[in-house]
Amino acid sequence: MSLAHDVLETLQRLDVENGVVSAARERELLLRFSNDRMTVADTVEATTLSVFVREGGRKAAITLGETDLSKLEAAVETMVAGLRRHGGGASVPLPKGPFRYAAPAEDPAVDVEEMASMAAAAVEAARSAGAARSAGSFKASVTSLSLCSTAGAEGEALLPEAELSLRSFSPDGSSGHGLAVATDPRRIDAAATGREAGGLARMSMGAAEAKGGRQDAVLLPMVFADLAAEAGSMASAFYVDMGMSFLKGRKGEEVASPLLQLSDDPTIPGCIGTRPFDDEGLPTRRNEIIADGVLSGYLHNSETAQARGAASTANAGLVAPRPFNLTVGGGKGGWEDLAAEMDRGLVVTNAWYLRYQNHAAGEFSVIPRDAVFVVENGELVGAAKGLRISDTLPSLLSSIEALGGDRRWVRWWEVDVPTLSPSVWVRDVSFTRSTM
Amino acid sequence: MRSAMEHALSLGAEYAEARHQSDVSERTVVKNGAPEVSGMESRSGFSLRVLKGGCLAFAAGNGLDAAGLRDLAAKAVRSAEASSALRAGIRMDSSPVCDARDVLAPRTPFADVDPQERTSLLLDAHQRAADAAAAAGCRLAGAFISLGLLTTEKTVVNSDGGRLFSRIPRASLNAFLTVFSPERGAVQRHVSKGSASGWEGVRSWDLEASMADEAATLARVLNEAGPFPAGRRDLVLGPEIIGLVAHESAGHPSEADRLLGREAAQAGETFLSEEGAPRRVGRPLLNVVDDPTLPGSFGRYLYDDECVAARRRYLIRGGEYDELLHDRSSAAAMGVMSNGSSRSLHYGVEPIVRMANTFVEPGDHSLEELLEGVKDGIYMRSFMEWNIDDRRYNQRYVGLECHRIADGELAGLLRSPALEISTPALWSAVDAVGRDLEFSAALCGKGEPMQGIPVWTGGPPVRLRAVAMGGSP
Repeated sequence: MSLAHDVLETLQRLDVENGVVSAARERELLLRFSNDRMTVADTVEATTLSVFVREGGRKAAITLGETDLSKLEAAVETMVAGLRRHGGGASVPLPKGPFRYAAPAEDPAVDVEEMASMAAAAVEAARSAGAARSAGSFKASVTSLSLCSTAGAEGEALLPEAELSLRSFSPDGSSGHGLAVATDPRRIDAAATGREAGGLARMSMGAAEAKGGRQDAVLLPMVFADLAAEAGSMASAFYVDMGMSFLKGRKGEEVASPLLQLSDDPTIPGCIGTRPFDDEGLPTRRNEIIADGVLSGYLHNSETAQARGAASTANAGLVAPRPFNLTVGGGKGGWEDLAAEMDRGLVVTNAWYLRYQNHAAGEFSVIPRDAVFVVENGELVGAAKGLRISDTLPSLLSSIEALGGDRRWVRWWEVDVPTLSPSVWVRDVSFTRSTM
Repeated sequence: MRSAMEHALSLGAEYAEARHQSDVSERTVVKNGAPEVSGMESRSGFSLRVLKGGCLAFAAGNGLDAAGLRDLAAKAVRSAEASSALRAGIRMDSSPVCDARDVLAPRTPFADVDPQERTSLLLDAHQRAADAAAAAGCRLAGAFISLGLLTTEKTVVNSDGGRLFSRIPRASLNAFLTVFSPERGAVQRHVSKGSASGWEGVRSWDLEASMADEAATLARVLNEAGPFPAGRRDLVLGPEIIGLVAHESAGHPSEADRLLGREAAQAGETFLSEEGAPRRVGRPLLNVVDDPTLPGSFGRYLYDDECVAARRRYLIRGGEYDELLHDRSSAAAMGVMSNGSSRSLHYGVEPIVRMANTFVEPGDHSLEELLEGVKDGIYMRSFMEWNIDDRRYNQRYVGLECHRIADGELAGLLRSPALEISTPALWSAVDAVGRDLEFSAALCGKGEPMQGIPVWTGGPPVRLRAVAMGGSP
């Protein structure tokens, strides 16, 4: 805390109205592998100091990879002087502390030899399950975060994350993806992750080019988490104000199937998105975003909240509020049980590259990748490829037929907000494909 | 740095490379016509990359003294040793390495431009956009305009004798505009600009006029665009779209690390590695290149992060896929020489194979000549939604500003026609290439951790014959 405190003293000496200082020390180990071989082992240790000031109707922020206090003080003084040259209006006050926070998480030991051994186990398990080759990454990081504000917030947090992401290929190029996230890399079942990827790759061998059109689909957690994370992020009041959200003007209205429950809950112990306070130092809390299909409200920091006459939801983002740890309510059974109820449709195990034509309307497309299975009369009768989901978020979320009980945490290359999602059966999903 | 590199060698590394990189950026943001935030970020630190026993390791940190650097070297070597159970047999090629300086001096340094002048420029640009939308009976319902001014300074040394110092300023602008009409809803647009330059690059964009033009065009699309029925049409793609096609469907498939499977679990692989993949995909008039040496370009560099000299690479030459983009390890694995494609975003990430400025080389047609040859078709000038599969084979571009072409003339706007097509089908449909080259700026995402690297994408307008188009939703 001392570095953050020292810089806070500079803000106080300058009589800054609203200032937040955070110091983050991050250490990360990342192992990347491809063709069953290690391609690189990364080790990064870095300290970052961030200062945010809101005063006179203006905002300024600096982020410095620097621990020399005299340099930090000089940078802060320059920032504040620049802000005061042009300011003039009123600023929204920061949440007034002090606050009590949940106890920091435990610091997991991270060892490169142990992680390399686990990566090798995952690769071997994938091979045993039928993979011809696998690629992926295994990373573990711990961020020690200190935060203090001119409004009296003062907290320390430990944010540990581990993620094993493994993609396996069968001899014909069909693929499957396995994913596991935890706060401690030793809690990851590397062999199970490898078996999942290898098994999906083997099951999807012989995938045939499929036709586009509307049909039912069971979207596995990696796919539905992508959609849920989009909806959760679009609940940020900042993006609503920007016109980058289909949730604009919909508070209190039905925006999804009554089956859908979507919350942000960074207070759940032991998740990679767990954190005791937001970027303004306010203690985090559980916020409903969509309850029984109805939009409960938006995610706020102190500034977006005041603009709407609301209270902060403890989702700061100093500029843009954001979700930290999303959860989708679950139902019953696994994806196989959902598929067994479908007369005809597809099972989509993974998707990526989601892009919008219109954020306000939620018009987008995203590309299924890895295993896609064809369902007829409740049975898996083959595998498909070459498809794209081209639809709208409001339509997909409103067409949920059932949710599985197979919730799992998803965070990977495509989904950057940790999201707990089940498999979800969605009616009449629009699939398109290249026709030449 | 040198002693850290030598320490790694003394611990048994067969190759070592040390880099110090400083990225200092200032950002000015205007949201919905009001100053949002001004920011400064300084990211500076050291990295070491070592090869030991055919295993590659990378270590990075900041705030390090001499002892910290030696410790970093030891960590890198230990990581390489820990990888030996899955030894990949990685090695570097024998490309000549440079002992060079590459300093791009700005005509107007960023520091010479008062922060208030930057804010005023964005506020004026916003106002011009709002006025343009209002003049068309619409409203600028949302506008986010962000100006970034970045200076990157790198020092690289490697155990093969390479030494490089570079300093490159880059200016970039990202805007997101929403134009709204109560009767017709909203249309939206991302705008990106970028150059390797000082403030003179920003001035050259004429932001006020540019934002006004963008908003006016969005209002026209909103007011005038009519539905488009699906079907086969001739299609003229403007520079913004063909530039993205060049990047996605010539550049990415030609990255050697994808072909070797290194990105398989993240950005993906390439259809070019598949058995029977076509090499010839277009007519002899089609050439797609990647060139890091373009003066003023957003992706400009003269030497890559492995100290290899950059040069123009022909990705598609005369209608055939030709050269791959290589760093020294991919080149060694494939028995060729690096062509200087190794780039890293900041000190904390490893250098990997990247594009720089990817574009379709100009031909000899004016836009009017391209249009003249179309009886019933579409001129797609800009886009919003796009994506492409991880083999870079199936892609989709949904048009934003799209004109119907009737008997060689522009004949009204069309709403959101979609081009969804395979890479060989797209390139093979090109029958004429325009002469007027234009570029767009982008940040290309790849790697783990994700690295969004500055690039230009570009080309002249090109004409495609009889492609299947999806209709308006």
